[in-house]
Amino acid sequence: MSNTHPTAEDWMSYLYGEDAPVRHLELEAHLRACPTCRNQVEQWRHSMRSLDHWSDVRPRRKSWAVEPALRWAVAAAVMLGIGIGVGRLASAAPRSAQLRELVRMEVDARLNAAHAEFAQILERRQAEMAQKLQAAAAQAGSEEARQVLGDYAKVLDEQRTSDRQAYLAAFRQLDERQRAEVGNLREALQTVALNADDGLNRAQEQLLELASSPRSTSP
Amino acid sequence: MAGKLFSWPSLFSCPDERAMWRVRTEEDAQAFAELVSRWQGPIQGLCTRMLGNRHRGEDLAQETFARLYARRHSYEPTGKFSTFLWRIALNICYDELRKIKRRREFSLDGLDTDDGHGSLEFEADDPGPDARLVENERAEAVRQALLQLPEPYRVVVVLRHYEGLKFREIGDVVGIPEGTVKSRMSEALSQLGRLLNPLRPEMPKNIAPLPPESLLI
Repeated sequence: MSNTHPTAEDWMSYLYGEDAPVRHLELEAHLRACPTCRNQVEQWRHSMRSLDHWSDVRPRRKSWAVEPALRWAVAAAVMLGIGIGVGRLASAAPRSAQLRELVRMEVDARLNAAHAEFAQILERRQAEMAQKLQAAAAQAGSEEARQVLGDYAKVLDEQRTSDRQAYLAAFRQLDERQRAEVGNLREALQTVALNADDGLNRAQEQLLELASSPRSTSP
Repeated sequence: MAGKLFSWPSLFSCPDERAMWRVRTEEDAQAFAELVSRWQGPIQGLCTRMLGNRHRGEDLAQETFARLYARRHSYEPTGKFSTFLWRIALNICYDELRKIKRRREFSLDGLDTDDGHGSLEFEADDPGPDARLVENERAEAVRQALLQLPEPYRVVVVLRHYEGLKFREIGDVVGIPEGTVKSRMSEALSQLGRLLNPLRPEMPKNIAPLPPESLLI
């Protein structure tokens, strides 16, 4: 038995498992040799057991700090996900040009479809308007009224034609702008993909270096 | 580029701080609900044991989260969220205990030393009426003993023994050195031992105290 007793702080760390392993062994050895400390520690232990009689009133906190297994599981899942992602990226690289071409074709097809739909709607509405005007002229009672309505229909038709040309010009302008934006976006995506490839290659090289480097000897 | 894509510390850091940061900056209701869900149990446990009453504990836990939201702008992401939250809960407990003490000075309604209603409730997996009765009596004795401890000691016992905080974390929450936390814990356990003496038939009659130098704080 040593001449000096461990302090109460030492014993609290010991009882709640917060001391270092070496210190824990020292305190255990002291306990075996010192009846005074043994009695005192047993008294504290009994108080701790008594506290457990007031069972937990609420579920314990799901602490990340006290669930190392969960953290390791999450880490393993993340590493697995990264591995799958790297694998998919690596396998998709040779097909990137094909994919870009597919994206371009899809965008072009959608733009052309929108253009055709817009033109059809415009044609249909003009035809409906012309029919209504012709019907109104036929029902008109006097020759003068029919003449006025016919003139009005011509003016309206000319106006619609110029409107249609303006619409189509605006649509073409919008179309060109969208194509330019798609082109810029495509270039940006290519840059990001190339940078990501470089970064992943570098990470792979570093991992290979680490794996091939000799293991350090344990102290 | 890869370094920007994958930030390793962000993958492993505690999500509480990130959720609270979203609450502070974006008033993210979903993040706040997640924090409440995650911490409701521990905060209710703390409040219940500090007050000795489950119903008051539940009320104070609600008040804690209301105050947490009200003070979201004072949260600093450099600190631990748990420390921030425990402090709020403790301050609310202290306020409530002060109110109870004031009421007790002017009336006969004291602290919940005889309030069995809402103080102790047990899970349904009881082993039988007799065993349950014994367990109830023991639990009630512990509750009474805890309430008789001075508040600084009770806080340490509740946070260390029931909520599982490390002594260092308790020091951060309460604002005292780790050594003081440990010395308060040892003194609290000693006092509990004396208060719960009838429950300790196996203890020796004459327990030699630790030498005085070992108990110096």
